[in-house]
Amino acid sequence: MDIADDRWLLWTGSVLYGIAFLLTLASLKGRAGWRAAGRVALGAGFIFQSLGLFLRGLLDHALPLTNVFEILQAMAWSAIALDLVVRPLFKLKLLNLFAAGLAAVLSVGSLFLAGFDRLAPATEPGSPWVGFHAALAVFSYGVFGLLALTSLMYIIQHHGLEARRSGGIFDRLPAIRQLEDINGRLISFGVSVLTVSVAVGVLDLIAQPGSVGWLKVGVALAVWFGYAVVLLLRRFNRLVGAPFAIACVAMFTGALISLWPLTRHVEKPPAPEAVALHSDV
Amino acid sequence: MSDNGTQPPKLLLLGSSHRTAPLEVRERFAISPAQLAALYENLRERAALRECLVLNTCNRVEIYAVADRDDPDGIYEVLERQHGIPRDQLARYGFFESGEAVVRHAFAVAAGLDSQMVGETEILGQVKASYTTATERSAAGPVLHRLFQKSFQAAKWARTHTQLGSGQVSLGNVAVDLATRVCGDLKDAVLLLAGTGEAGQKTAQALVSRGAEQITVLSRESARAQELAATFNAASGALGDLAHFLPHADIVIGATGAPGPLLTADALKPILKTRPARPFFLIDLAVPRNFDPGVAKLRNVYLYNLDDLAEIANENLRARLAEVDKTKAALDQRAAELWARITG
Repeated sequence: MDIADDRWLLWTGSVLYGIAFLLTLASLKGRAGWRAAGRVALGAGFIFQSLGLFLRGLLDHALPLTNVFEILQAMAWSAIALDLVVRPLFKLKLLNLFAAGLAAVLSVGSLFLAGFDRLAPATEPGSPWVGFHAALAVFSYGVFGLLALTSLMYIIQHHGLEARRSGGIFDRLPAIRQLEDINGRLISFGVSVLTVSVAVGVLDLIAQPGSVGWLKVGVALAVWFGYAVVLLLRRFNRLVGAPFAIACVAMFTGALISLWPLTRHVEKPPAPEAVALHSDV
Repeated sequence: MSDNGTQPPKLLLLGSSHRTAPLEVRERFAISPAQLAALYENLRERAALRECLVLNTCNRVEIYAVADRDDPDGIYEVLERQHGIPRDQLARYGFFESGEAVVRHAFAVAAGLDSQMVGETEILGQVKASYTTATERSAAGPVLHRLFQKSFQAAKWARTHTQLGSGQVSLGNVAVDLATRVCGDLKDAVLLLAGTGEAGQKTAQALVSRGAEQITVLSRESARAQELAATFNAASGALGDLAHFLPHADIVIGATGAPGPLLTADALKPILKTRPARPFFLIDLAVPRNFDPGVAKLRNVYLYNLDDLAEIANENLRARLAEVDKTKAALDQRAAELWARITG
């Protein structure tokens, strides 16, 4: 086992996210010490994943986003990074639980499906704006991932209040008003980041016509447009409360599905030299 | 264990509580703060107790004592002659325990197992205050120090390892928990109390005790509204201006004696449009109801009536009661261990 191997680091990070999820879940049964242990596991998982992505990035001198595996890993990393900032800032109870769960599913799923980690064929170095565009897009997906989590928390709390349920997870979730507030901020932030990403991508497309397939352009614009519409409807109080939360979860599910067409151009058999570089893939 | 190394101490408990005496009897047994100093003095001198502690709450008067003999006669005598509590009354409406049973009882009381509202935590504070008083009066000695320190630990254990204290069991506290789930920090929530009935007052008081600061009391009688508002350091207004206050409110308590609904879905709809996506929590404590049930169908509105709150309170109480046997068995085990160490 090579501890400097990026996949080993990413595996360790993913397993730690899973452990963080289980420990935080167990802490709901009143074992306060387990919650602290969950936070440590989450922090450790983040460090391992950051190191893994850093080693990967050294190959391309950029954030590694060349295939589905790397994109899912980067999304999980973004979601945890945001959780580490947002949770203490807004005192959002249980966000760790949901963020760790999402990160574990994304990262472990990406590691299990070996086909996701096919290397992209070697290409000439492109415009740095393309890398910037991709990094922003993936970061915005991380924001939307977190938004889906807070929306899911909203739906659970809302359902509990409607169904006259109390105790258990309902008493531990953040308040409806808190979630409504953070959801508003997250969608504004996510759409802003994605808008810059799309703008950069469009400008690059204009500069290099035909460099990207129309399917990819169409799907990317559809995701951006969908989130922008949800944001506008919220701004005008036409989509608030539970329907807004449901829309955010549905949009993120759609955004995840959209990764397939968005990354389709790199889903090709690995080049021989690439296989030599990554013999464990 | 013994002071002189020959005779182990006798641990005694003489008391009366809600389990053995009705309210009117407990009122007669109650020890006023002014009488407490004299009682401690009399117990130490006249009853010849080595150590003693008086636990005096609205639901119980209990005297824990360490004596040379396993006999409560001296305590009965002091209570009858010095404090006017007839011996026959105390024997009829009270109880006497000795030895390990006293340890078991102290643990159960501190943990809230013996409380009228099973699992409540106020009793622990009262036991701690009584212990402090006994210590300050040099009435508590090595045995009672040990007994009560271990009682506090047992109570803490019960709180963290069982569901005995989980969930609220009073309507006011249930409403507070729900308000917290809807609005978060109550300090930021605007509370509107419509009506000056007792149920509304108690619920508002519970919300205030958990941080609510921005309160307006509305009533048909402005003097009554002002009087109640003064107790909460709140503003007051006329009930007829309810629609004017609603757009700014987060929590509205309906506790008026109005014969029909004060608020209907049709009336609330335009108000909801004037406020951002802020949730609305309506607590209807009135019979007949102050809020038309149709308002619950509106987006971002959470309506709870008296039955809803009572159902949650009862469910929580059932959950607590289900924990009693398990908790009692665990505390009895701890009591047996402590008693073995005290007498060993």
